[in-house]
Amino acid sequence: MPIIRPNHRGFTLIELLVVIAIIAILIGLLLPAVQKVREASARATCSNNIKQVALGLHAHHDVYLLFPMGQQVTLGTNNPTNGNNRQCWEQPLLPYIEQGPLYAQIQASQPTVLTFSITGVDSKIKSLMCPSDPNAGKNVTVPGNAQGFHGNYVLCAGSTLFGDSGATGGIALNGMFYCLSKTKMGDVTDGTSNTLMGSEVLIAQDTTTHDLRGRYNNTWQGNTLFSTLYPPNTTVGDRSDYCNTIPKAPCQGLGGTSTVQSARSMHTGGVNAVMADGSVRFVRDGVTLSTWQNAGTRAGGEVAANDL
Amino acid sequence: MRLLLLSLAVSGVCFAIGCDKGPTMATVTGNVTFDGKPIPDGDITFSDPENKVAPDGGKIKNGVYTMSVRPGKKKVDIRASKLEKLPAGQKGAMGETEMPVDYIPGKYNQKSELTADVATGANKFDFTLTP
Repeated sequence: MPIIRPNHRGFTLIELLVVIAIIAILIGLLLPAVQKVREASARATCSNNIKQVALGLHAHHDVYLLFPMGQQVTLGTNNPTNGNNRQCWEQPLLPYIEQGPLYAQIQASQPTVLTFSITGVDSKIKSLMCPSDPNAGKNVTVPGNAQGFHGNYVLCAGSTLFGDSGATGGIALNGMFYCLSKTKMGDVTDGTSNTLMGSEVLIAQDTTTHDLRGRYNNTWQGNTLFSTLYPPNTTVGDRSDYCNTIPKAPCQGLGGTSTVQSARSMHTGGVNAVMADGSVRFVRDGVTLSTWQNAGTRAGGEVAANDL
Repeated sequence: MRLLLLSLAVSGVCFAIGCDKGPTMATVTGNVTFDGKPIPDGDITFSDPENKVAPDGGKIKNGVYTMSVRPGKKKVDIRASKLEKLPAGQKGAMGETEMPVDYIPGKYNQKSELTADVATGANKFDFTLTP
């Protein structure tokens, strides 16, 4: 009587282990890749947002024949000097990034004396948030929770400290946007393709004190401007009257003539930056310092470098 | 099979730790005093006087700083702030009665006379500042 053997064989232990090992390696390779893809898509959104800011500024220029003021009061000023209450370039930009109703709301409740209860400033403006920054969209503040939304995008004040022009600081800096600036396209004699218009900063949550960086309401320390004095993501801290050090964005709580803010991001190895012509570039942390500084000036007369 | 696994493992490790090197950094530590007392909370920057090499920044805590610096001849800036009472009757924009004031003279920051020659490896530079 013939013995009927079942005609299927199982896996040996070795084969099973090899398969598991291969799967483990694939997971090990793919999971970081997924994270990288996620960051790459956040970076793409971020660079698209900064492009929209640039286009909005161009639209503003088309209407008024000049760019909005970098900051509408001088550095560290307490009282409104021109009827506006510590606003910056972001409020006049709002109608040009499809936030017309918000602009109307803010202007309607804009007080003539310095207070902070301004309707609408808590609204998160998605196109001014960089999704790579875990603190993007901050609108909870101390004290009194009245400081409003903080945006990630900043405009270029030049290549010096904000306070370099003296006690009434922040005016007549060498970039496109500074305190009370009224820059026209024609003032950018270095060439709009060679001059930085904007970049990004990291936002820090309020802890014991508030952190001014990125705040567009009650702007008075150049909170929505940046300088190219120090390279992107520099270890040299920002300086402003109120700030909290966080990883990648150190800060010292002092303002006055030392006030400065540098471009920072959570992207790997650099920051998004937009030139005055509206083109977006990813600038490496290791960019030649002189190239970065020269790009920050609007009329420095430097020969354009090709390594930005 | 073994070769394949080995090469995969090696490349995996490479991806994980990153196989490119940043600039060579030197470590710098030291003590900073102002008017004979250690600076409780401040800011220190080592920058290239010719502005070619990127600057490096660090924090001073209780008169001590430890940081990484790109080697070379450096200009050193030191800044520190303390809260100072505003004159009676005057208030800050948020109703503050005291505001941060930079109390280190300009000869140590804006127009700094401090220099340091940072060599590769470990360095120690102490700074004694006077009002």
